[in-house]
Amino acid sequence: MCTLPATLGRDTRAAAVVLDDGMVSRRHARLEIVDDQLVLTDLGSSNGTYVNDARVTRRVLVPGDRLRIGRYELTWMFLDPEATGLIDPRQLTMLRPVAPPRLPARRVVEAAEAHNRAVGHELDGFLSLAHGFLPVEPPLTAFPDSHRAWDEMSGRLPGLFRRLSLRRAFDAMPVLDARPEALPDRYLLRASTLLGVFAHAYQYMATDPPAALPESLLRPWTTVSRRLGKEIPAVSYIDLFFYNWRLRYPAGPRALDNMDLLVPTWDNAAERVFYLVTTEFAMGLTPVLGAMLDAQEAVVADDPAALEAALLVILDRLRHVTQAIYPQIDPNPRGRHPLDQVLWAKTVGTAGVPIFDGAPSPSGTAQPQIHALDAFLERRDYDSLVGRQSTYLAGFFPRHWQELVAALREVSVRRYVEDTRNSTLRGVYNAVLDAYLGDRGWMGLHRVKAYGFLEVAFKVGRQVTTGARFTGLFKDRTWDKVDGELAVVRDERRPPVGPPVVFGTARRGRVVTAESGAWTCHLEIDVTGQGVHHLPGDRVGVLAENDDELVRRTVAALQATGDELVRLTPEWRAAVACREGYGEADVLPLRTLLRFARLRPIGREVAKRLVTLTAVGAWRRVVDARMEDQWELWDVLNLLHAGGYDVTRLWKADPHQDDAFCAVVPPEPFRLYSIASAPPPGEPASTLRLVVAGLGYTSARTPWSYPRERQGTASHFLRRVSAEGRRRLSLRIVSTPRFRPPADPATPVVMFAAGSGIAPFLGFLAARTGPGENRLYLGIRTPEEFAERADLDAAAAGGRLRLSVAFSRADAAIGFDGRRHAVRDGRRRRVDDVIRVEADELWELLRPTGDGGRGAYVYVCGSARFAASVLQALTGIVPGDGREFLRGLVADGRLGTDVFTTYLGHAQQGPRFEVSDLARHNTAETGYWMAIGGAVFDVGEFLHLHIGGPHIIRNHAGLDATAAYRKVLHHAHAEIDAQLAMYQIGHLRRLSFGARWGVVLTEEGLRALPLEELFRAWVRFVYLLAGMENALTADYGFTTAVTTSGEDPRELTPFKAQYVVEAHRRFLVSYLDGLVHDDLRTLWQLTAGFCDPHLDIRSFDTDLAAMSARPDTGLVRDSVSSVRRLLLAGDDSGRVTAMCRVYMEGDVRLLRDLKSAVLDGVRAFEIHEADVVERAGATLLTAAGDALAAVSAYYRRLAEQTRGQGVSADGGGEETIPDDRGMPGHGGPLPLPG
Amino acid sequence: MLVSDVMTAFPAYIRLGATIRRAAEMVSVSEVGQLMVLDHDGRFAGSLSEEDLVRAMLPGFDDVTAAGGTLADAFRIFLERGRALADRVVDPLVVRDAATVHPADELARAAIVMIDRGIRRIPVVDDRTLVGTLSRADLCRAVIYHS
Repeated sequence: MCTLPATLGRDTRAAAVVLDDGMVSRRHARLEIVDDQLVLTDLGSSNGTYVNDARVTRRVLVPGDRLRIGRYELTWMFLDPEATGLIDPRQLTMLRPVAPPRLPARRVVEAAEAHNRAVGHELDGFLSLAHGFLPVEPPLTAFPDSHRAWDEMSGRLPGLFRRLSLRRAFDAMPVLDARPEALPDRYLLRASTLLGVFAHAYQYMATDPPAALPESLLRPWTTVSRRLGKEIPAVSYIDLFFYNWRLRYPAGPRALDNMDLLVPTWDNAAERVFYLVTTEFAMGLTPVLGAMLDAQEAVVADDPAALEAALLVILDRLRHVTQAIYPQIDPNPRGRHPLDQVLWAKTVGTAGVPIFDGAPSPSGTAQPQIHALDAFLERRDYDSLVGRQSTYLAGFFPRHWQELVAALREVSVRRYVEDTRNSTLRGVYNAVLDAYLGDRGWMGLHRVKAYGFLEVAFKVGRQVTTGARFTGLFKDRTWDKVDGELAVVRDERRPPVGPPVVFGTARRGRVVTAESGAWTCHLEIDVTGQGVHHLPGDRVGVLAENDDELVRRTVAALQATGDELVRLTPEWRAAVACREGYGEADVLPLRTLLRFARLRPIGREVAKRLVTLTAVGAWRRVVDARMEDQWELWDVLNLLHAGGYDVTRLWKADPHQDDAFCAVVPPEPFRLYSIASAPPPGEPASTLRLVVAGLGYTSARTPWSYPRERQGTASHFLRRVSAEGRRRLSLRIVSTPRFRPPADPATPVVMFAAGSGIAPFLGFLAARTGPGENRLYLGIRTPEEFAERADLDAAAAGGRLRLSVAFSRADAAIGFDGRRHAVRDGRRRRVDDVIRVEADELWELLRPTGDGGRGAYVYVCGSARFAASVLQALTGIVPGDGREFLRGLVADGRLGTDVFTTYLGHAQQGPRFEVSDLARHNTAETGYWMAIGGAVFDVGEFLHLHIGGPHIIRNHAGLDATAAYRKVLHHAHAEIDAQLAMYQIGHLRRLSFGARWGVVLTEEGLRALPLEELFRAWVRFVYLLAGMENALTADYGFTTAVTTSGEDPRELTPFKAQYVVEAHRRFLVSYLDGLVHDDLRTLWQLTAGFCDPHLDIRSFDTDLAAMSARPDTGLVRDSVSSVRRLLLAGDDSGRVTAMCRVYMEGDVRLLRDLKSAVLDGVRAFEIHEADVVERAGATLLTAAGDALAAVSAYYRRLAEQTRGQGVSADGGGEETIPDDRGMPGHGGPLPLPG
Repeated sequence: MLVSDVMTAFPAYIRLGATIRRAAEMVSVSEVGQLMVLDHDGRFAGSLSEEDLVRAMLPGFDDVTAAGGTLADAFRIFLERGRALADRVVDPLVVRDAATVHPADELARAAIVMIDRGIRRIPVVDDRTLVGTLSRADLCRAVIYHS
């Protein structure tokens, strides 16, 4: 302590505050009070005096200012000796040099906290360790009396929206003063949120935009925005999310269940959940801020243990927000917080699109916590569309956020982790990256979720995203473009670090073999010091190696010696880098390459590539029959060689050539196994236990394959490894967020396992040491396969486990004698038999707690067939609707299924279905089917269980969903892909057209077309129709939703009616015109060419022109705007409602009629195949003609009903679609006035 | 082995200004799909393929719609065009920037350009004088059959 004035300097006699540093002058600076202000004056020092990093000569200091003189950073405090007795005034001034130097990011946060405290508001940006990027003070809930009118308006928004009377209400609202003298700073953020929401509500209430914002909104909003430093008024991320919530119970947690929106617009479920979960997401990440600072400080201080601890906090938080908070955006209608995607699309989805041109948007890329993480993790670049937008939006951040993001870039945690080569740190750091960017991490989940939401949204008319400008129409598949962008962005985020693998060492294991020869291997992998922090239920991916015998055969089939050097493609280099000792390899000897390659079974893509490359007919026929999975690479190569293909090309070609081995055959992927162990909570795992079932089968004897013993690559590799007991393994931990024990350890758990499906449950049991009951039902074939396990015995002895084993091929059972489980007499049975026997007891366990039951969690792990049988049996134990009970179980998150593929040979057996069967199954009455990869699935029940919600499933019902399925990487995720088998009902039959062809006349001239192509054109058309039916059903389904709070869902409110009118207009323009003028016309042209050389190719155009010229058609198309005017005038709701019904029924019926006509044609193909032209050419032409006739009938019918309602075209003509930014009818942005 | 060793030394040719009928006659008599074309000074001018002759007879979309719009009309126009073309000169159909080889070129060099560009018969030209043609059949005969 010193009294003022005080001199600061190096001279012990001259200075009151002595700074021992050569950089400090003897008398350096002076502190004094002048006019009640604290003033710092530089006394002509050599090296200068700095305040907040700026050199000063004289400066008035305010709290929070940072003084720096030489190496010293000075913090200071003003003490009033009258007011405090805590500090002894005689105590001497204490100073120490800044050592270690203060972390830049820490300085920013502390300065922000101090500044916000001092000024009494948080206008320069929320930033604190306690609340991260959220306000320290919860958002204000009211204005002073002078601005009460705004408060009152906010409660009325939903009602005004419902009746479409919102604009009138705002036109009549008084213009309130928002200048500082009328509205103090502390109300600015509330004003900004309120006025922003109001303005957007005004803009987007009706599908056609207003000419301008009313004075009552524009003037105060502009003033408030300018005061906040925003040149163009715009809704920011803060307005919409961070300052738009309140706690129901102020003392309760900041969590969805305890929050409400401060300024809801529609106040519907979609708005509430979407906004509040986004806010809670940021809240959940709050501790990450402090952890990032700790991590960087640990790097500066060279303290690996502290760095590990900080990274673990980040890892834990990322997992938490990804797996607990984000999934609350749940499209499942039975979920706790259901969020209907269509409702979202028509209300919340576009609400944030800026009103004024050039204004920033509150898109997800404006999240400050994401920017901070990107800076901390050293995102590579921002060059993509979304990346550039992200940089642009960050330019609008408040000061504290900008400073923080910049400061976080100053210390590199990545480099430290790389340089120290510490395997624990590396493991944890990679886990953080994976939790942030991985397929199952936050960005991966976001991408899949965004894809689902956008696909549904765009199909019901939304054509723009809140952020970057993605616009498009039905056929453009805009959601694919957005998705592609998100993939690029995720890649941009990935910093240049080594591959995300951990290395383990296998220990000797034991193998249990049954009489049949089937074996199971119990294996342990030592992962000590690898920083493996996994949760019970997680899987580990193992990189297998092919055995010597398979490699030898393949080398021989390639006519090589094995010593040839092969250059790797980038994909291969990345894969090989995951193997220890091969980090930098870009060339491998062929033999080594083959050890790492996926040699069996042959995948579909490899099979097709080989067809293209070699043109060997025998192989093409195998692939056409979908029998390639009965082959291994070496026997395919032998077949190709016999067919004349030069197999040596594969290893001679350069890596960039199509026929290079690395371009044809992919590397062996990580094969997943459930981890059958669990580390103590919060500690890293030292051992991973696995239970591996041997896979062996004989390929089928068919015209396209021959019988031969085949082995599973990974299971046999692991068996070899467990026999050796010291091999190093490349591993990857794969989290399974949907397969976790309940958070509450007291909740009972019921587990059903078949064979090696017991593995994850061994992990569960290791982790669940609490009071909760554990029941395990295990299905195996014979007593020899029952492996005694000390962990099971111990759990049972401790009263934590009840194990019940069903032997399917032996009359035996398992009993527990208090110490051990042992085989004794019993009867053969299956797990589903046991379920039926113990039905009452199980029901008690499974019944919801609210219903008097015990609310147990249920888990199933085994083959698809096993899982299906267990679920089927479970529906039987429920009094009442068992399937509905299961749906509820899934919605509650109480049912986890972990299905694995047990390859039992090719599944060509089973029913065959026709495209015409498939296409009919897309309604509630017919049921829902879809095709993926040539197989047909009944998804009628699955749509209630789908995590992405029922809309996405319905959207793809009745058609081939392969592309959509792959787009979201479902095929690459074994845990998802394997579940498909539970719903498979057969295959699509492949029609045979031989080499038939015909001549067609198109705009490109005369062409010869294979008959198969003509069939494909018909099928594409049917799928297009089915897709449109699905989209339209979802679109009009909006009328049954609760769109604003307090409405009766059965009422067709004006707000909903306008969307019906809009959807109908879109149906005419975006669906029907393209369908008729484009797709149907092409179909007709091609069919006419094949079937009738005497048909004038123009007759379709003539018929079409005649139809368009009919007054009926004109009336239908030109009267939509009349109906819209009626709706906006608001005085004839009866007629508007009637017209809406006419539109909905008419549009749906037209698509049905079209499909029915076209299916007649498709069926003709299915019956006659190669002879269809000769035998049923007339049927095809009639079917195409009927399709056009159906459109004609539609116009006639609709015109009649329109006239019946007394609606006319009233001269307005058909509205031209404005050059819009994509929102249905929502024209261009408003020009900014003045 | 050189091009001159295996080429066909007396190729079928016509001159600029000849009628398309004459070209068709040459094609049918010589059973060669690719005619060589010389200019009025006897210098090599280019080549003319039977494919181009046939293509010239095929009607486009607008031709068909102008004549009735059915496939049957398209087939009729094809025949009519053949008749109409017969008396015209070949000049517009001649490909004048045809790839050529030199008699002293290596065979493999010729083979590569033929496969790469889908040429069935390539002119062998020495200082603007046509000295022969080299066909894929010539290559197969010389390199495989006589090996």
